[in-house]
Amino acid sequence: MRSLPFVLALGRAARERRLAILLWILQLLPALLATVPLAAFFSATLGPAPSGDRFLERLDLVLLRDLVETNRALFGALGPVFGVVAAIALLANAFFAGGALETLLRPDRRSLALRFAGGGARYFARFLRMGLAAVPLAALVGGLASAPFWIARGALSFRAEAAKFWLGLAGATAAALGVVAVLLALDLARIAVARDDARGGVRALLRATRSLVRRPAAPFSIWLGLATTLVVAVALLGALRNAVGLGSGGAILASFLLLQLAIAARAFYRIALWSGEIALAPAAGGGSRIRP
Amino acid sequence: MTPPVRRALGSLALAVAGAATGHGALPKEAPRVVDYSISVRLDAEKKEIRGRQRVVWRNPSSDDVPDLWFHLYLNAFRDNRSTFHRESRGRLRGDEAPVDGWGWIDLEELKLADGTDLLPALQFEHPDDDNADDRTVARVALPRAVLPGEELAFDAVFTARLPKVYARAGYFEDFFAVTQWFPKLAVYEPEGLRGRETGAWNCHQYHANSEFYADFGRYRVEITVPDGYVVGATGRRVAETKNADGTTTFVHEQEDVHDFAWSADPTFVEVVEPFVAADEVTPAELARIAELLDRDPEEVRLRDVEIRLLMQPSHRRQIARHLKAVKLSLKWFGLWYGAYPYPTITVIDPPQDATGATGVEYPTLFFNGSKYAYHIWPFSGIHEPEITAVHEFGHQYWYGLVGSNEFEEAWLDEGFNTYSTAKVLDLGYGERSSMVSFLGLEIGAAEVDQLGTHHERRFDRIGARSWEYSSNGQYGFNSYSRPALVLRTLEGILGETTMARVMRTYHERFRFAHPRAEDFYAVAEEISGRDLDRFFEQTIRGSGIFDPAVRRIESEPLAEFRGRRAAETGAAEAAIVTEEEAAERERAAEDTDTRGWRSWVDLRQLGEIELPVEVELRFEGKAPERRIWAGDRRWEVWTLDGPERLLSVEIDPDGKLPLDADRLNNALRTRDDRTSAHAWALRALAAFERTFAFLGL
Repeated sequence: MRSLPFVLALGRAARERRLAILLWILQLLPALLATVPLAAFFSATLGPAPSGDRFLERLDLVLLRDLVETNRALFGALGPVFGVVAAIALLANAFFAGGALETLLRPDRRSLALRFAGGGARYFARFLRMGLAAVPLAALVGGLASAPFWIARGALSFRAEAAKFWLGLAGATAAALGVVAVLLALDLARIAVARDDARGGVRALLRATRSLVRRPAAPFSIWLGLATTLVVAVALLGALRNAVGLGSGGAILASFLLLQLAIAARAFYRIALWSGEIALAPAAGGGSRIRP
Repeated sequence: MTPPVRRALGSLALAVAGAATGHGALPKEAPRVVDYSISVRLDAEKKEIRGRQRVVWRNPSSDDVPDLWFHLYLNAFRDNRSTFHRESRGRLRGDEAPVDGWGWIDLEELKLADGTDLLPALQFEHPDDDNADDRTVARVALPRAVLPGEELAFDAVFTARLPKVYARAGYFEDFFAVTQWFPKLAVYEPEGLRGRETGAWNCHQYHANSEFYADFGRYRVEITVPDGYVVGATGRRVAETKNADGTTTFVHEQEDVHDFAWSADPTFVEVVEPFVAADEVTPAELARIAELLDRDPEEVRLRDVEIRLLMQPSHRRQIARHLKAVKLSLKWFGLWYGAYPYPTITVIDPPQDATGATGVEYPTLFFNGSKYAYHIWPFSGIHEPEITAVHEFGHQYWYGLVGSNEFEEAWLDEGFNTYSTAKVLDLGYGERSSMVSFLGLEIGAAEVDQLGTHHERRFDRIGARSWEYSSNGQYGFNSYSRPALVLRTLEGILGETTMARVMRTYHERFRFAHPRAEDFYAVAEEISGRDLDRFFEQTIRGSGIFDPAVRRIESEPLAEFRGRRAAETGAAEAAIVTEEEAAERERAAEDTDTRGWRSWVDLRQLGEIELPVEVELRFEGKAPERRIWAGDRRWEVWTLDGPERLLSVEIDPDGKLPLDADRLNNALRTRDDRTSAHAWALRALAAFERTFAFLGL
């Protein structure tokens, strides 16, 4: 019996353990950096305050409000900080994709770090342009996919609450699938560009989107299989974290480790997805290589 | 009049009232000041109602009353110049005034029973803000004054255009919330009522933040609607007639209420369910409540009530939730404050999009609120139908039966109700999740009330008139949450039992009456036997916040004596204890574990309100001890010598004073424990890491 493509992709990812660990570390380091000022504040404020121990039992909103009031400036800065983190992450997205694809496509004798860094640098500008182009494209595709549902919903009487709810949900799902489609197309286009070291990344993106819309089955089936596996894994890890709680130093350490496993799982998922997509990516210069 | 004299007189008055009604006796009926007989027809196409009413008003005072004052509430929606529209800027409780959705009420005829035309003498008044464009208050001079105790009968014919609903009253397509819809007489307050020095009409304009105030009486209303419409209204249905012109007339009657509202919708699904007191309340519960309230079990027994739900078809699957909430409310409001006295309670479920009609209360009827998705996980953990049902039912007690003035003292109904609602919700749905239990996030009702009390809230006070707050948010906080916190704090000070008796007594004494804040204060002092003047002065009349804090604690080994010791009897000269000698003694004490500790505790009142607080001191190797800090100064420093090291100090360890604006500063410890800090750091790390992973990979 032939293995499902996503299972094969998982197998490939398992062989690229070191790449997954590298990606995981590259998520952890900037997050640690951003956490440091907050951690210092929490230590200074909650260390001497027994009232804060209530947080160990549950999320006490009143105490949380008091905590925020203790340093409004710090918490006020969280929004911009998250914005900066998000912006850096989006930039990093282009670099990580380049590094990962160079590693997967050219398994030569160079060290992992060299291959990753080299690929990230080589493809950064092209992949960044493609990523920026993907944003309006995703909005367009998502909007077009969900439009029929919203139009149907708008035509209903206010009394048709049930139908409006389900149509709204279907519309949101269609929009999400549209966005996923563009993200998969972005992956395929980046693979094509990296494999052929081609220019014209935006053209490759448009071509890949067209191909995917015409033949969505293969890429979506790989994505669905891997995403489902990831969701199950993260849910299990999340349930374990809930069970462990944060009531003691040991529990916090265990929770930290479980969190890192979840982030690492995401890295594995990403490598598996790229691995599965490599076989499907069309040539950057044209022509479809997507096989059903 | 000094506070002690006022207190003494108040207690005497209450004692007399108590003797008159009997200890624990609930009044059986209201003073029947006004009778309304109204017939009204709904034109569902034009969204208009046309009505005719006969009103009989009995002068309850010892004054000769020369005029009548009316509320014409629907004129608040007449145009954008009304006081309501100016103050709200066309927004209320998150809903916006729909475009071209104006409404109004026109008096077409106003005559005495003998035919004398009063309309020419009608004038619009604006006693609150001199807004000449506001038409929500009308006054008509009478040809002769109404003598004390005399009855005056008059007839009115009116037409009203209902607004598109966004502020309680109006329509949404073919759903109608017909509230504050008829010319309503104001309250003539005799001398002595609510502290009046002379009798006068109490009639305020309809403000953005105000609600209503009216006299108790009897209502009989004939409601004619197009065939097919299902109607819910105040009181019990006494007749239903199909007319030849394609309409149906429903007749409702109710005594001892001060308002009448109704709703019509052709798609309502009607559910009738009895609340059978004997099934809902066990003998053990009855006995326990009787003991708590120091009443005979027969006095706390409840009555059977018919519950009538009018549900939207799409909310059918939530019927059980609504019924459970109403039954819970009938039970606990009844047990704690007094049996619900009416035979019916009607619950209207507006369409999901008619949010302006949700969450509003009228005697024996209230508008609930729900959404289709609330029967589907995880949305089923959002307890909006329960919260609204319990709160709006609660208004049957606070405002409905205890008819306080919602214009001038909104907190007497909203604050009291918020306090009571949280208790009922916690009983029925769990203290930690009574509001929400959604994907692991749990929020309790009491918690929500506490979220508003922090240092930003200094600008207004509870005891202000409803339109005299700096913002709608301040009105909301000072009418709902803050008074509820005051009452819970009072409960923490008096104890649950005494507070329960205070609330019961207040409700019994002022059921079917118009109390003011001072009446509640007097009951609280009488039942508790304590002087609470300072408490209410600070918490209700003042705008300050309550924030006791532990500023600093230290604990260090007790030092041995050093320096020149006084000469002992018979000795040649005084001895000097050197550093070396003292240090030696200290080492010896440490070796034998007998060295004592000196500890300092620095307590502060960071807010303006000063209340006594309980302080728990934890020492190493010893059971915690508790002391009272009178809290009557801005700070206090305790110096404590003892064999044990002080580990931590906590103000209000049992959380009995929820008015506290900052609980985080209530406790300090001498040795840091960073477990909680590390837990929060991990949460922050998880948020950053997940963001980076989601966007970066």
